[in-house]
Amino acid sequence: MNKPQRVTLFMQCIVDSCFPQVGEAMVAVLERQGLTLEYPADQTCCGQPAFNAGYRNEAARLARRFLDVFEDAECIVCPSGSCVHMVRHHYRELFAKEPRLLARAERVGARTFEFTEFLVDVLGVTDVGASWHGDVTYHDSCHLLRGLGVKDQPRALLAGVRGLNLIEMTRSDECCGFGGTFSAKYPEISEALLETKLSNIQATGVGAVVGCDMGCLMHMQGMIRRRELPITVHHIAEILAGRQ
Amino acid sequence: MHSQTPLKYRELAAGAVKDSQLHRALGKMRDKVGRNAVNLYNQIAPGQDSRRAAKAVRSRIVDNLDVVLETLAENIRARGGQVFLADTGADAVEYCLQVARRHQVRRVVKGKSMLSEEICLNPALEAAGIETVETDLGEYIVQLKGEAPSHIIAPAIHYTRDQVGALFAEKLGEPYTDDPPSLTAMARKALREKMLTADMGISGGNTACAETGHVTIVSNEGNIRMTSTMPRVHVVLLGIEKIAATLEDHDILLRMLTRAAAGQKISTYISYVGGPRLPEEPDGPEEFHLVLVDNGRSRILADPDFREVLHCVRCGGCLNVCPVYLNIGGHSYGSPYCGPIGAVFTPLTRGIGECSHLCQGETLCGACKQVCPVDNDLPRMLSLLRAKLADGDPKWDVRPQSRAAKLAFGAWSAVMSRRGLYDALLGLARLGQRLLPRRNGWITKLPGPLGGWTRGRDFPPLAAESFGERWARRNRDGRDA
Amino acid sequence: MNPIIERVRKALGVQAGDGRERIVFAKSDDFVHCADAPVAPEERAGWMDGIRAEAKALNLQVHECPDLAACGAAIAALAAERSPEWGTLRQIMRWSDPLLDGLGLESRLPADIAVKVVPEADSFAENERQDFRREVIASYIGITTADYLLADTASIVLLGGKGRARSVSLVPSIHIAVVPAGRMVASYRRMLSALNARTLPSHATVITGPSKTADIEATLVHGAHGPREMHLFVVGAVE
Repeated sequence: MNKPQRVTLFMQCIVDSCFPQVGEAMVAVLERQGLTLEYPADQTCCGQPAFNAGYRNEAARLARRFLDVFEDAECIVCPSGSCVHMVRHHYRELFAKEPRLLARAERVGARTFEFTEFLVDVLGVTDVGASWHGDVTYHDSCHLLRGLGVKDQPRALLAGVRGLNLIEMTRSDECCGFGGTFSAKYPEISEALLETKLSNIQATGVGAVVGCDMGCLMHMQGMIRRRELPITVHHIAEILAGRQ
Repeated sequence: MHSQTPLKYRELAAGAVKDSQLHRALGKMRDKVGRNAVNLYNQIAPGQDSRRAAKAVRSRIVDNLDVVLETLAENIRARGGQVFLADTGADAVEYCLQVARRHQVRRVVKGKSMLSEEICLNPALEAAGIETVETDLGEYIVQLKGEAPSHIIAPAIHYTRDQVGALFAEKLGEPYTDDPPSLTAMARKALREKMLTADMGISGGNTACAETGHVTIVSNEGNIRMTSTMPRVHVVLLGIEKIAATLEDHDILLRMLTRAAAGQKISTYISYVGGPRLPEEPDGPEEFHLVLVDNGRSRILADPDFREVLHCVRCGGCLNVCPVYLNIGGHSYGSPYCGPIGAVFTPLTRGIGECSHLCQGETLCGACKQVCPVDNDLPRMLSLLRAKLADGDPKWDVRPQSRAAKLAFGAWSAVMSRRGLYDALLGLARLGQRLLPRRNGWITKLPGPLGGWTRGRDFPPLAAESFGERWARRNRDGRDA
Repeated sequence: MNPIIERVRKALGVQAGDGRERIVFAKSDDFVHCADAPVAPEERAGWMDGIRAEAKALNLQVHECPDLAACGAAIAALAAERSPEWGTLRQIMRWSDPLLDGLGLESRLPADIAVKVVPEADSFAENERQDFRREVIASYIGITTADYLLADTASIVLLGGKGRARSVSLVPSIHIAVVPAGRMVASYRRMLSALNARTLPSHATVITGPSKTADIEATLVHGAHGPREMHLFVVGAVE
């Protein structure tokens, strides 16, 4: 895809309701690239929470709505790998037996990108003019990494940030234990995975972790705050919008 | 088998996540075997696509399972071997008991067989007064301990060397040591006598070659060779799906298996066993029995969404990379098949409703899918099992698990279907959250089912304005508002 | 009409006798013919290096001998140095094979080491089997040949047959395999291809080094239930 005329913003519901500053940071970065942005005001959710819990009919209802809302978008960008994975992969499962919906889902899915994927693969950009002074480590979110194959793009973008030093943690690709409703239904296991992740972060000696998915990041931040750990948590959009 | 049940998953997992020694042991499997597996697969031509090639082989076999089974049975019978197709686990056990009775068997030695755990063979043999000795070192250890195996390939991985040392000191009367070579030598001595005096050997199998009429058994220790060579009678237990058609199939399947299971190019022993000894062979069993077990597999075969799980070669590779398994250990699953494969296979054979924890108790991170040597998509199948728990499925005898959850998600999707409703709900929730206890802005206690989160983590509050509201305000007031 | 096979057919939605054997047992041309494919001399020349490299991690001891006489002398020296693991009797059990006859062991060994040969017959009485079994169990060294030696994994392949007992490479503490260099093949695949072209006997074993286990704390230990020591004698040169 060439540089699009207009970019349609798809805001993960967690970002929309709890972390709007992440959405605004993404907007700032995209505007700096000279893109025309639009935001369909009646978007709500891609349906992933319901799908993940097994409620496919409920998820399909929201998926159909998503296709209606974003049908005419030329290029859709979202600050969450798990949502994009839902649209690109799971919508095909939901509509496997409905050819017309399937075709629409495939068309829309082909135009839906995760934020870092969009910057690097579509725009061909790794230096967005950002600066952020400090050491960070990076967490690979599961759906982004294994579902979408996005691994190098966030790292390339972080490498382009003036003053930032990336130190890789042990097993950055290991799940943080969020997993959607799993985090509340199986808290002991969820916390155990999270403890390992936080301990790997701390072992790098850095004071900041960066990721591309607020589900994972809010999970980490939840335990960091509860235990008062000296780690700050950042969505990559906030780093890339930074002009420290 | 032991009184295990998946119903205790959460309870057992809660205990296991505090077991740092378990984590250290499983961490070794992860680091030595799990995380390097894909590099090893890439050594095999066709390189990057070896997993897909192995999947294609298994697929061809499973999609034509009737032909492969019939040919295997015919070729083994032609050599004087006996083949029994067992409908249920109980039928397989009964057959083994009949063979044992006919030969007045007093001692059985066993090579490792997860299938034998699945069908609860050992307790039945023991109830019939037959001494049953596990000979695989890991299985021997758990048997002495009176426990169940905790890993498909390394059954005793959850013990430390000093625990094994104490166990051998107690049960074998040997002086205490925690040195693995010395401990192995103790087991070697204790088991040699058993293997050389047993009347019957029962082993599993890793695959078979239908075209040539052989069962193929892969091992490192030599105990399976002993079990299949020295006693008068050799019985092999094999799931109906765990077979192959040609030697060409073996080329890729066995090389992937040993890499996935133990990070090895090849195992120490690969035995092709096709029947009893021939008259001109001076040793070998006088009778050979192949027991092919269905026990729910044909039902899985009939469902195109789940048929793929029958491609599994039981390498244990998925266990070695699953962050959930690596934290909770094999016993939490309450089934001989643990880890990601256990989480799919156990519900499909034991009952989806009874095994709901196994379907829901993982994060679907996808690490298993990446490492599976036959490219199984376990996350897809787990997701589908969750859907069956949510809405029920008469074909699989499962009813909707929770009316409350169904109503909740129904209500949620109704609200999310209209931005106006969603905004209204957000407004209400922003008010409501003021009633919740907070610290530095984040919520420290959530009500109801979400309370699990706040047990050990704070939860983010809703922002004063959603992104949508801020965007609308910005556009109303001009760019720089 | 086995009910389980019928159930399988129903699950697959197929009929018996519809000719699927053709697909099921199809093999690629590459596989069928690769055993016969010529091997470049440079590649063949590297095989022993490959075997030696593999053997290290396996704790497999590799010896190269120009001929059977040298091999026999080396084996006799090895046997004289070793003590039995169980008991005090030093007895060797070997396969009945012209290659092993050519070692001349019987005349090279000290008087206290006996050599027994696997009996060759078309059938055996029960007491003959029991006698043989006792002899194998009493042997501290088992000597076999091998039908193939795999260059990529340092594995040997032992096909069953007359004069070749399965327990000789299994029960004694030490296994010695004597393989002519001409029986080397490049790979596991080529070996399978060769087996594919012949009738596989009722029993065959692929052996790669002495027995081992890693069941205690994932720590590798050489010497589990099978032989704890293994020697591979490669006789002659790779042409």
